[in-house]
Amino acid sequence: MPDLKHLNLMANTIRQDVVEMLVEAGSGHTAGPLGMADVFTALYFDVLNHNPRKPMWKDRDYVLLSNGHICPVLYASLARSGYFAKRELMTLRKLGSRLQGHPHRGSLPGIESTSGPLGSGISQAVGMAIALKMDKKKNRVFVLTSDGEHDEGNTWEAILLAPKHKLNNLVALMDRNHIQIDGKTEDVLGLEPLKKKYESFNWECEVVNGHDIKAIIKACNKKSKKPRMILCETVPGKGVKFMEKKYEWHGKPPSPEEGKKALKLLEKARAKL
Amino acid sequence: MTDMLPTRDGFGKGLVKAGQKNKNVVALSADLSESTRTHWFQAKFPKRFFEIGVAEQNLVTVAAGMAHIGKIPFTTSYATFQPGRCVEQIRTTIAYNNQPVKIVGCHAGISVGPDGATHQALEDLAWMRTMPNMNVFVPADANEAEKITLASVKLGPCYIRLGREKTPVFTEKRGAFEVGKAHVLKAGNDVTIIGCGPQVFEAMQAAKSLEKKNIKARVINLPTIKPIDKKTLVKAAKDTGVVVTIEEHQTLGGMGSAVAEVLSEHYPVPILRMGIQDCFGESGTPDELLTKFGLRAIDVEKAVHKAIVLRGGGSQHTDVRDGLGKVHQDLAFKFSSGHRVRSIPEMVGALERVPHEVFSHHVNQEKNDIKQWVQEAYGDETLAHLLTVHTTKEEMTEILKMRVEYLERKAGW
Repeated sequence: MPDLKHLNLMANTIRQDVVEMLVEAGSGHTAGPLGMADVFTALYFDVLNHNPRKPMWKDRDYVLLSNGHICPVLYASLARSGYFAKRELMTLRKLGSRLQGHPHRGSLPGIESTSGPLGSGISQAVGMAIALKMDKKKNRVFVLTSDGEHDEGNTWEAILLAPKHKLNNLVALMDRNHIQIDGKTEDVLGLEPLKKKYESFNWECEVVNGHDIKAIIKACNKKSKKPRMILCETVPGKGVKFMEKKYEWHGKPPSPEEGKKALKLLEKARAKL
Repeated sequence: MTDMLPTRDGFGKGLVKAGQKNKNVVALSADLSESTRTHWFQAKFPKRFFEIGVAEQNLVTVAAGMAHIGKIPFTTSYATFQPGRCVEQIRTTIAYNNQPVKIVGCHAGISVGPDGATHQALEDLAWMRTMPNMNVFVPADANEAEKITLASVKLGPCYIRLGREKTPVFTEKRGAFEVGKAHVLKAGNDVTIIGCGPQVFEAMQAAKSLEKKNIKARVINLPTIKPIDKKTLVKAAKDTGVVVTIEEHQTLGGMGSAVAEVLSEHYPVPILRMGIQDCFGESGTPDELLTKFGLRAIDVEKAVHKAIVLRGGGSQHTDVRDGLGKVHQDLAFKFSSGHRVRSIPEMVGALERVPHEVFSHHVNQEKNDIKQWVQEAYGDETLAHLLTVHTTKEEMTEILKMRVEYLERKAGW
């Protein structure tokens, strides 16, 4: 049984890291990383079979971040689980840093693939899952995707292909936060009904509260004969009241003042955990 | 009689051999397994063959994922679709990610034929050779395609460009492919002809014909566009002073551009780039199209003549400024009509005006007064020689015009 209090505290820590990193960087995306802190905590501190001291361990579960722009939450999760030193987080987006503006394989331990341009994460995960099955290996592949990148044709090409190979070693988690750069997802290009769409494409699909760590863990570990999509209903900017559900916070960092305010709110929330 | 095989056949055979040698080799098709000859691999290794469907973006990104787990994927489709449709996916998930995926672009070039411009990839080399980490190959024939396929297994990201039509098989079947090496197929010091793909054969045909006219062309097969063989190219430029390139690709951004980039930085010489001149193809038989778009041996010959004019007279012609100036009136050319000419630019003007009967009085089976005059008045042996090859009024005018352009440019330097 996971220690939920510990995990919730970790999610709070990661949110604070994200705010500090973005203030220091002076650019980057805020709403997405805050919204996904609970999902990343569930993965890196419970679900995953991984060894931060041996990032290339052959039996590890693979994690792909398809919507690369929310990488601050990935970097914070990697640092907090021990892939590299926490102090390195403050180099985000700086010249010479291993923490590139969008994740780059080969730069930083724990990054399985380069990402940023949307729509090609699920297909890479499909490729990995096929190859692992060929080799009769037990590793699982987790791919994190956004709702906005379901506008991309490449995403749907991958969704079509996965059931053909019965990829029950593949778990996709969508950051269903209902926003993208130009506005609400349903206004920009309607995606619903997403669950029905996935099911009709022969995936197993369930909706979870993306801030309920226990529910996320349970959903991730379910066994199935099919590839699985977990639609994580999240609040963009979660934990920082003045950012929550505001798509204006999709692609900008907090100013130092806003950062202080955000950290104060997060500290307050922490005290209640 | 030369054997005729499409380069895609060489790839298909090479892929099966690669599969036998290395169990990690897998092949992916986007609903074109027969056209791309991947079906031979499929027949042999059904469990290592993946039908992705008509989805090229998925094709290359799934391959990138497979490569991350240790597979060596060959992705296949027509070059207009792959790399065409998925350039960004290739850039990010294969090139930047540095995954050893081999992207095989079939049906490249104008010789695809009746399918028309939508299916004739003429830009693929430009797309692929600008990507860091990417190796780029254009086999000259089926033998070379087979060797390149086998050699690519051990490399990082690769692009292999293939043709649809049967073309002459003329390179060595034995031996391994040397990545990054240009091959001098024929020695010569008058001009260099560099080709890639089946056009290398046209270049060889042209060189043989030029030999009879006493022009010794060096012919280079350049199957590795990237990494490019600077040494061989620079040596050829130094030895011959002028270069002609030929490829079934846009002259913008293709092999000729790659050669021009190298030579302009290391040893600038005039370069004539043959290929598709900033336009789309069209339907027609491969033969008709290659002729229409000027990619035949005869076109290479013409380009070589132009190139020699561009280069200037070399050692035979010490002061090129002379050609523009007027010669002494004793050396003036006297047309039978009474008109006198005292310089090459004047000769161009005169030739455009003189009637055919006057011209043929001076240039005919028995004599060639104009060539004689160029030799005596200017001592320009190169130009004189070209005027023995090109003997119609129109041809002579064109050659002399080009000489004037060259001299003017030279004088302006």
